[in-house]
Parts: sequence; C-alpha cells; structure tokens
Amino acid sequence: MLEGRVAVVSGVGPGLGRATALALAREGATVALLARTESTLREVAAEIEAGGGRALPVPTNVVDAEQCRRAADVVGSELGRIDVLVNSAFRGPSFRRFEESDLERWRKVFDVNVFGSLQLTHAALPYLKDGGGGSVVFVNSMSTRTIRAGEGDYAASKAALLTAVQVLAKELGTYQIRVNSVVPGWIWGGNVEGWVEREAAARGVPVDEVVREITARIPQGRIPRPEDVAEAIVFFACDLARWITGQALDVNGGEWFH
Amino acid sequence: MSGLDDLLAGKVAVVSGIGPGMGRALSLRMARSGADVVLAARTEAKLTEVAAEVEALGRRALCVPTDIASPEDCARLVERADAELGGIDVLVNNAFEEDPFISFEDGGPDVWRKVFDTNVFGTLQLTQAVIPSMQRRGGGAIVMISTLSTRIVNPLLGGYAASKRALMTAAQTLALELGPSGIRVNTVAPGHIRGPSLEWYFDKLAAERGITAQEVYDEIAGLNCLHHLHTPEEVAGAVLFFVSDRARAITGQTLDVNAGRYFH
Repeated sequence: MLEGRVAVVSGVGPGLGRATALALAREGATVALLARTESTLREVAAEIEAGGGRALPVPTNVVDAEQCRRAADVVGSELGRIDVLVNSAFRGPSFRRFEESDLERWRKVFDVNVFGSLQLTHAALPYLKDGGGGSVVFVNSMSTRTIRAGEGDYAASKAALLTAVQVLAKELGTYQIRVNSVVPGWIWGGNVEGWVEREAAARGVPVDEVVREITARIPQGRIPRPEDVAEAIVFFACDLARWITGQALDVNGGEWFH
Repeated sequence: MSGLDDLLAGKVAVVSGIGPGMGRALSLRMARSGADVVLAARTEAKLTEVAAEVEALGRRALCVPTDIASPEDCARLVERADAELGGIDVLVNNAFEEDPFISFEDGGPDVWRKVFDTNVFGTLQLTQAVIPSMQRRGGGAIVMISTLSTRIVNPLLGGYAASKRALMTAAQTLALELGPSGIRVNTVAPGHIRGPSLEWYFDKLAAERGITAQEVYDEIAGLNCLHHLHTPEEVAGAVLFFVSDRARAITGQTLDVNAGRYFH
C-alpha cells in the first residue's frame, strides 16, 4: 500500500513509534526513524531490515529546530523524498496539579508536543510539496477527550495540536498535503504498565484490579496494543485516505466516541 | 500480510442500497479485497448487474431483492447468506431514502417519518437480523453510511439530515452493546459524491445561474481543503478500512470523508 514511498516517524521508542515504523515498512515504505536515542533507532532499523524492509536511523531531538531541519535534509538527500510524516514524539504529563506545578513544566511539555511536532512538520514541508503532496499524521491522546487532574500540561498541549492539524489541513490542502490526527486511548505498553503499577501500589490493590477497572470501561474488553493504533496511522498515510484531511480518528476499543 | 487484496479474504459482506453509485463501488471494493458479497436492494435488475461484476473479480455474489423496511425480507436475506455463503462478517448499511426537498413547515412530520422508516428503522431492521449470524462467526464489523448533511445543515433536507444523525448515535449505542460480542460499529460520513444525482443538481444550479456545470463544480469543490469532490470508489476505501481487521480496536467512531469540507 506504500511501495516506493518514504515515511518519517518521530518518537521511535519501544511503543507506538516502533509499531508504526514496522507497520509502514510492512506496507512497503522506506522508513526514517527519528528519536534522541540512537541505540533504539538501530534496534528498530534492524527489525525492519530483518523483515526485508528499508530503514534509516536519524537521531533527532525535535525540540531543536536546527536538528529538525537537518533530519529532513538527511532524509531528503539519502532517500530522495518525503511522502509521509508521523509525529509521534511526545513528552508525557508531569502528573502535577496546576496549583502545585509551575508554568516552566507546562512549557517543557508544549515544547515537545506542540512546537517539536510543528518544527519537524515545517522542516518536512518542502519535501512533501516537491513530491506533489503527502500525508502528515499527528498522534494525539485520550487526555484531550477525558480530562484527568494532574495531566493539564499534556492534555492542553495535545488539544492545541488537534486544532493545529485542522489549520494545517486548510493551509496545506492546496499542495495536496493531508493532515489528520489519530487519537489513541489506553495503549498497553511500558508507559501504561508503569502507570497501572504505580496506581495499584498507591491504592494498595492488585495490578489486575486496576487493569480490570480500565477494561470494564472498554466495550471490546481489551486494552488496545501499539500495533492496533499503528494501523490507523497506516490508513491515513496510504491512498485509502487520499481525500481525507483535517479529521481525527479515535482508536480506543470503544471507550469513548468521537 | 500486506496490501489491499487480502484484507477481507474469506469474509462475507452484505451491502445494502445497491445501485450504480455507492452501492456498486462498495460491493466491488469488498470483492477486490477478497470478500464474497451479498447484494441487497429492492430492484433485482440493479443487483444482477453488480453481481456480474463481482463474479468477474472471482468472488461469489448473492442477489437478494430486499426492502430493508420489511422484517421478512431482512430475515430471508440472512437465511440465504447463512445457507449459501456460510454466514455474515461485514454489513455496510448504505441504503437510504432521499429527502423530497420540502420544508418542515410544508411537509410536516409525515414526510420525515417516511425518510426515517428507511434510514433509521430499515437500517436497524437489517442490522438486527444480521447480528446473530455475526455472533455465530465470532464477531463482525458494521458500517453506517452517513452524510455531510448532518454536519452542515441545509434547508429542505431536514428528514434526511435528522435521520442520519439519529443513525450516528444509534451506531454508538450498538458499539457499546455489541463490543463484548466482537462486533464493531462505525460510521463513515461522506461529503458530496460524484454521480448522476450530483450531476443533475449541478446542471440545475448552472441553468439557474447562467454558468457552466464545471463552474459549479469548481465553486463547490473550492469550499474544501483539497478542492476535490469524491467518487464513490474513494469513499469505499475508508469503508474498507473500517470493516477490515486493520480497524480491530476502533468502534463507535465516525470518520468524515469530505476532502476537508468539515472537520470532525
């Protein structure tokens, strides 16, 4: 579905970024892997290559605009084009209530989630335009759908992105660049497992009980996996979604409806 | 697994509202991805034409003349799909009743009721009939075809817009209730779809305003981000995603396919 295309994925770590890169490669895309930690990028690149795909690790901190420009230029010169950009790099919530937090913490979260994603997108634009269009996907969050105390920095930054996506869809449509959001709910993996363990410890209940409380709110009765969410990103990246722009698709097993 | 050709391998898909536009495009999209297709509409002649095309793609097609407002017709469709194709995995609710283009004040609730009878109750009738067959197969996927008319409300389409909006919320209720059975329920809301109806409408506008149909097209397409109005085939691509295993963790959602005319 993506043969001959070049995809850039930011935030490649052990979770959704990795699953997305693997799914894009499975569909035939050459995938540029971006994150700060080079060793992780090399591991994921090796996995992609073991499956017969092509990958290019490009160590990048998206907070640094210069590094974003350099990453786009490296991909452009090494792989010749950019057709797909997946903004999945993020900084999680500080888990501090607003009154106990300070705006410096909020700013750090916005620096990654809003400005980091926008910087990378801005840097990739000339290449997306050169190719006659393309698809940009922003990974959003359930934190914008169900507001929880202590996640204000993260939730507000992701909410800004939901609107930024719509603005970009409007402005970049004339270049045939599509811009959409994928909004995951719970994703079973390191971050959520850690949260569940901390929650269980804090309340003095077994981990299973916390998991059961979550799955009880999900009609499918199962916490989605990174691979499940990655499929929605692949959908927006490919031509099945050729004429879809400015939309948000929630992947959450039915926990809430958008 | 990779590519589109085997996304629905071994599946049986029911498509309602078979005609030369959306219904045909949906059926052929499902067939191209490996599904056998049960074709449902009132007019048998329309079914046989599309069936021939499905069979030319190497898939089986089952024509079942069906009025979705009739419980007997819906039950018969499911019986035949179970007996002849082994069950049902996918249901695309595409059948709809057009609005007679009359204001609420002039038409009143009886005009609306007729539209609701097909768009809401007919669709729910067929859906209810199909559920046990999906449950026997261990799950399934249902898509409701909605419309941009629920997002951008225009006069003279009240019954149509309100009925499709009702269906959108019904889909969410069904997603909650059927989640434990492994049945997913989602909605695709297309914008303008190219075809004879739209051409007729554009010609009418063009004649009224003394401009060409192409100028009308450009004007209306210019309202969306990509300056494009969809073909039925393009909308069918989004439906294919929702009914495939790729959307296995997605239920109760609505995706707007409108080239950026309205953001949801």
